[in-house]
Amino acid sequence: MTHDSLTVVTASPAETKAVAAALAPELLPGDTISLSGDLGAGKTVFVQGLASGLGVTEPVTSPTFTIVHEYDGHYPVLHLDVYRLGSFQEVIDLGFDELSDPTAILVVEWGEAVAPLLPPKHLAVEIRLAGPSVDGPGERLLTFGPRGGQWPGRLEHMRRRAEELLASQGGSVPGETRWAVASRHPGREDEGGIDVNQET
Amino acid sequence: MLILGIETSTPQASVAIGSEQGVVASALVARGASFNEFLLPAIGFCLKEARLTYDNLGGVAVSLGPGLFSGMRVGVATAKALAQALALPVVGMASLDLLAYDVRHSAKTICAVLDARRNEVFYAFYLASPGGIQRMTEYALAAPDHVGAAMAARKGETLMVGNGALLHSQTFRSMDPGVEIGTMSTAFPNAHALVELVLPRLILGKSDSLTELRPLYLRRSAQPIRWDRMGVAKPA
Repeated sequence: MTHDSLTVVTASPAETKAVAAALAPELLPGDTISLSGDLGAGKTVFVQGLASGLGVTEPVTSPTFTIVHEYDGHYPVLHLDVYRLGSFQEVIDLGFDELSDPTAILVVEWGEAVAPLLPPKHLAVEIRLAGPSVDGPGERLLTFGPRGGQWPGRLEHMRRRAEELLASQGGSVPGETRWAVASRHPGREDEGGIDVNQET
Repeated sequence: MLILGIETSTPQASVAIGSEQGVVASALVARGASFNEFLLPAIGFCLKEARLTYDNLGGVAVSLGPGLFSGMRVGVATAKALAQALALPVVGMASLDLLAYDVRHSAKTICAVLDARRNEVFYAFYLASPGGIQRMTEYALAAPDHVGAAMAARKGETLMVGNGALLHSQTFRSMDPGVEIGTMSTAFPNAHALVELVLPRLILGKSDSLTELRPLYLRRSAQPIRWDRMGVAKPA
């Protein structure tokens, strides 16, 4: 089941972190978030905000080259990046089934690339550049795409909490243009029907 | 002959040391410690409490799964390392065989079923045979519906054991109302059964190749990640 996506524009890494931190209280052990966005889009920044909102105090860094990072917050937080992997088998060979731990929160960078391996109920977050610059400060468009589950209600809670946080930071984007509800982004439909049990 | 059994392919991990006279020491943990945290201290505990040392061991038995990915790897890697370091023979045995062996006195067809997550199960069918069990089907991975249909298609009554049988008991009962579902005491393969099953082989001098022994990985995929469809350009 697909629900409408919620989008938000952030004007700085601090704002991206604030939105991510606002999502944190909605998360429960067993939840999976997949995160997409080009290099420099701010995936790690998003996870930093999310992790701090989950009570993680240690530094959060990109797992692109280390594949999996594990943090201890209110719950265990597993941060995985499949960017360097080329096949579903490589993801399985990481013990991915057991990373989907019912006692931990799992964040998978580029998770949508291996969507058939993800729990059917998860939150797909996409970060795109909304402004001209790539690595520097600039606006980002964050899209929260619920994939089943109780996400729509939780995203509404996230939005209210994020508005307070952004207002306290003196946010530069007016509230009425910052948020939007959008139909699912075309061309990003799940591929579906992928047989993960096919013998090699 | 004293042998060491290692079974870490399910959430209930166990080790046992036993001989022709039965198990002399064992340890079991089903929560908390990870497999690698549990395994060597547990073996050390069993040896120490039974007043034994590694030098008293005559062989190593290990469960090959199917089961939890990290558990299988830790168990098989540890068994191989010990066997190599102590110059001992090693024998691998399927987790599903251990489950079925524990209920070998049933006159029914036995179906051993372990939870494989992702709404799938590992399973195999068995019949009791003199002194043990005989496996009737390949070790396989499938949706519970598929296993239920396979069971309903077989003649006679079935006893299902394993945590997968308990987890999906409603599905199995709806497809075969006569099915008997095991209890928690038969939910997990254990190192006791492993020691008992493997001991005769080791006594007869039969063992597996140290270099070729590997876990039973049943979940496979030949699917490439379609990075092009994700809008990601990668060097070939």
